[in-house]
Amino acid sequence: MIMHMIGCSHHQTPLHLRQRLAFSPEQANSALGSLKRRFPNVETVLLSTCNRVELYAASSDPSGVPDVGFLQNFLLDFHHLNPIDYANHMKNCSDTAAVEHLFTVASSLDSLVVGESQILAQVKQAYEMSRSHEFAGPIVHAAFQHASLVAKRVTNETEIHSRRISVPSVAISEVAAEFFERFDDKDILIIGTGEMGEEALRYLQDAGAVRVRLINRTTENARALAAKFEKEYQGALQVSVELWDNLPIRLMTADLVISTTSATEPIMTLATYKSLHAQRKKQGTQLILDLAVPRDFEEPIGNLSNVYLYSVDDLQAACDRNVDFRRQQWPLARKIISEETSRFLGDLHHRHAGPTIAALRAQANQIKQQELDRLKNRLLAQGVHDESLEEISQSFERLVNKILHPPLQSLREESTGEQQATLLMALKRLFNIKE
Amino acid sequence: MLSGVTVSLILLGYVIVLAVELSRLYMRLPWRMPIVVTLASICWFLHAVYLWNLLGDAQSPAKLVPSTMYSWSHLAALIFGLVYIVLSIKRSTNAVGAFLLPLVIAMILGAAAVGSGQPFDRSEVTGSLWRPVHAGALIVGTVAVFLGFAAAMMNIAQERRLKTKRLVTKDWRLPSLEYLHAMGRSCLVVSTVSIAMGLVSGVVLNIQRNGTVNWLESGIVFCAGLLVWLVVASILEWEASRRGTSWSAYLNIASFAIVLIALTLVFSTPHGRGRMVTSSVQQTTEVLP
Repeated sequence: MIMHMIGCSHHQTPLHLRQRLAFSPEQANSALGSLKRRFPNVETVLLSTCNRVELYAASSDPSGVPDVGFLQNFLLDFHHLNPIDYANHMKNCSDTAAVEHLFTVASSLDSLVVGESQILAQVKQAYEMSRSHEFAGPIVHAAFQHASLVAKRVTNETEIHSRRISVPSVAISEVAAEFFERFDDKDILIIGTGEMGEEALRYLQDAGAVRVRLINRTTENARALAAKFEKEYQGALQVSVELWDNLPIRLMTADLVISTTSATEPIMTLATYKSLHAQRKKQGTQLILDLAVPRDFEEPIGNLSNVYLYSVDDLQAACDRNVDFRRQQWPLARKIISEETSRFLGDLHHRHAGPTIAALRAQANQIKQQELDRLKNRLLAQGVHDESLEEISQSFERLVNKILHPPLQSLREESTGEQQATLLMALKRLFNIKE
Repeated sequence: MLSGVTVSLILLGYVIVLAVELSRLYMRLPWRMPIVVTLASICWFLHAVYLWNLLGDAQSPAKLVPSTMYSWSHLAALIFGLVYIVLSIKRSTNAVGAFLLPLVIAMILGAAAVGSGQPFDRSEVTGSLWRPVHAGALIVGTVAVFLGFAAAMMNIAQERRLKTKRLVTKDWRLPSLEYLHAMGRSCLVVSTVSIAMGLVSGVVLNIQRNGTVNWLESGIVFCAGLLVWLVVASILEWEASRRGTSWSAYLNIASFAIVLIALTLVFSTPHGRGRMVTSSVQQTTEVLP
C-alpha cells in the first residue's frame, strides 16, 4: 500500500498563498477527476479549508500512484501557480507518516486552534465528496473511517476539546456561567454585529439563550445578522433588532450585555452609565462582557454595585490558561494517534497480504495432497494399515506448516507498507503465486 | 450493629473527605467526584450506624425517636451530611464540599459539646406526637439555617472573586451567583416555616403536658425571637427579589449567628436538657461515646 499526502497548512504557508491554492468543491471534483483519468488505480481525497489544502493519494499497487513531485505540480498547475512561490511552503509525507498526519488533522491536533471541532466535519465532508464521485477506494475508505474513530478516541480519552479558548466562548461558557444558571430567561443585549458579535450569538444559543436583542449603529447589518440566525436556527434563537437610539433603554433592563463594536472611543462613559444605572428598576446583577478593542465601556463602570465589567484583557487570561491546559493534553493525544496508526497499518497490511497468504497455503496444500494421494495408493497396495497412513498424512501437514511458517511470519510482522509490498512481490515470484 | 463505630472515626472520615475536597485548590484529580461521593457515603453510613446504636435496640418504632439533645444533634448532622452528598452529586463540578463539610464536622463537634444532657422521659417522647414534630421541625429549621449560611459564604466568596475578576480553575469553581441566591432564598423560607412549626408544636406540647404555656420560658422566648427575625428576613429578601436583587447572603449569615446564640442559650437552660428519666434502663439506652 502506498499513500502520499501533499499540501500546505497554516504551519508553513502564509495566508495569501493558501488562499490561492484553495479548492472549491467544484474545483476539487474537477481536479480529482482529472487525476483519476490519468491514474485509474489511484484513490484520492482533497481537503481544502481556510487553514489547509491537502491532497491524499493512495493505491494498493505501488505503481498506481504518482510520486509526490508530480502531485505537488498537479495541485499548483491546476491553479496556474508558480512552483517557485511555493518552494518552501509545501509539505509532503508518505505511508505511515501520511496516515499519522491524517489522524492528527482529524483529531484537531494540527489545527490553528488545537481542539477545535470543525476540522473533523471538514475531513468527513472531503471524504464524502470523494466517495460520492468514486475517487475513493478501499484504502481511503479505511483510512478516513479510521480517522473518525481516532478523533472520537482523542475526544473521549483526553480533555483537549473540553475547554474553550476563543474570547467569546470563554466569556459565555466560563464567565457568564459563573453568574447565571440559565440563559433562556435572561434579557441579553449584544452591541455590534462584527465577527465577535456573531460568534457570541452562536455561543449564547449553545448556552441555552432563546431571546437576544441586537443593536448596531448600522441597523441594516443587525437585521441581516438577525435574519441569518433566524434562518440557521429555525426560530430556536429569536434575535430582535433594536435601533441605536434605544441603547440606553436596553442597557437599563439587560442582565447580560456583550459589546463588540469597532468604535475608537468608548460608547458608554462612566457618567452616562451612572445616570442609567440609577434609573434601573431591576437592581439585580448586570454582567457586561466588553469584547471590543479598544473598550466600549469605561473601566470604572465595573466598580458600581451589582455591575460586573469584564474586558478582553480580563478574559484573555482564562483563554491562555485553557490553551496551556490543552497543551498538557497533547502527549496523551499523540500517544493515541501513534497507537491507532500502528493498529490501522497492521490491519491494512494484514488485509492486503491476506489473498497472497491464502494462495500460498492453497498451493502448498495442493502439492501436499497430490504427493500424499500418490504415496497412499502405493502403500495401500503393500497392505499398510490406516493408522500408519494417518500418521504419514499428519506428518506431511506438519512439514508444510513448518516450511511456510517463517516466510508468513516475516510477512505479518513487516510493518511498513513499502517493505511489505517488496516481500509480497518476492513471495509471489519465488512461489509463482497467481491470486 | 458495627459497635466499634465512634464519633472520632466519623470525624476522621469527614476530615479526609474535606481534605480531598480542598485538594481542588492544588491539583487535578480525574476521579475526584466518585472518590468524594464514595468516601462521604461511607462516613454517612457509619454516622447512621452510630446514631442507630445510640438509639438502642429498636424493637419498637417508638424507640427510633431520639430522646436526648445529643442524639437529636447527631440527627441534624446526619441530615446535613446527606444534603452535602446530594449536592456534591448534583453539583459535581463545584467545590461545595469546602463550605458544607466544615459545618458537618462542626455539628458533630457541637453534638459532643451538648452531650452531657439527660434523656427526655421516654414516655413523653413516645406518648405525644408533638415532641418529635417539635424537635424534627426545629432540626430541619436549624439544618436550613446552616445550609443557608454555607450558601451565603459561597455567595460572598463568589461575588468578591467575580468583582475582582479572579478567574479560577475548573476544579475550584463555585455554583453560579443566580443558583446561590436561589439557594439562600429557599433556605430562608424553609427555616422560617420549620421554626414556626417547631414553635407551634412546642406550644401545643406545653399545653398537653402542663395545661398552660410559660411564654417567658427561655426556650420559647429564643425560638420566638428567631422566628420573628426569620419572618423579617424573609420579607426583606422577598422585597429584594422583587427588585431583581438578593440580600439572602447577609440575611442568612445573620440567621446563622442568631441560631448559634439561641442554641447556646437553649442548651444552657433546662428546656434543652430534657427531664430526668425515671427508669434506669432508659438511662442506659443512650450513652455518650
